[in-house]
Amino acid sequence: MSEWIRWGFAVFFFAAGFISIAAAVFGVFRFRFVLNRMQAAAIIDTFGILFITLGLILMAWDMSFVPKLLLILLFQWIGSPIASHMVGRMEVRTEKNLKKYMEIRRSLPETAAESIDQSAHTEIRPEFSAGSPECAEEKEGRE
Amino acid sequence: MELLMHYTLVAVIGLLSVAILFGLVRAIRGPRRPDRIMGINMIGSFSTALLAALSLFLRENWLLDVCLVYGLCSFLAVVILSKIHISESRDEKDGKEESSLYE
Repeated sequence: MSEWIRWGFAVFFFAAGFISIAAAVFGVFRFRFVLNRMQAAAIIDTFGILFITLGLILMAWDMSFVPKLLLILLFQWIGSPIASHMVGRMEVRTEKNLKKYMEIRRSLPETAAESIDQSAHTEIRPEFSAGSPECAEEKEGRE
Repeated sequence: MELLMHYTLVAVIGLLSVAILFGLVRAIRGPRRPDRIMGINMIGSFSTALLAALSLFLRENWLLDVCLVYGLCSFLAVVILSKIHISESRDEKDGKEESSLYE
């Protein structure tokens, strides 16, 4: 009986892990830029590894397996943030067009006079927002 | 019960292999080098989980040690690759022909 309960919890954890991994892979293929993709890929290193290791611990339930699995989980959790940090630093230091796709737009103007004032002085560049086709063209041009 | 555990582990290993294929696609397609290195990072995490599942599948204790060392090696690989990329691009900015790493 207890084996069945253990198996049920293990399958539950595996399902949670694979749902997290599916979300991460979808995000990695959906986003356009490395800094966005990195954020999606970090789900694998935290939730994916956590749930799969917990499922494997419940499956094994043996003192020759469990401490090593916990050690693997610990090392992954220590190592993956550093790796992500290095990838992010590499992107920020080496990307020449970083300011174009990290542009922050101003908030909407409150009064009409402010609106006229802003439209005269603000250079709004919709072509670099993430979803537009021009942005994709520029992305291809950089390859 | 043993058979059920067996098939569950087969399913886990199969799904992780599919996930590794997705990581490989990202590493090949990724337009720039940071995308590729991120794909390599993904493949390393999936492989660690897959090795752990394989050690339970075969009931071999030592495969977990391999898995531990593999995880650390893939982490080191990502860190060193990004260091190399940073230093190469810095040399390009300075106008050097060859990277100082290869001298």
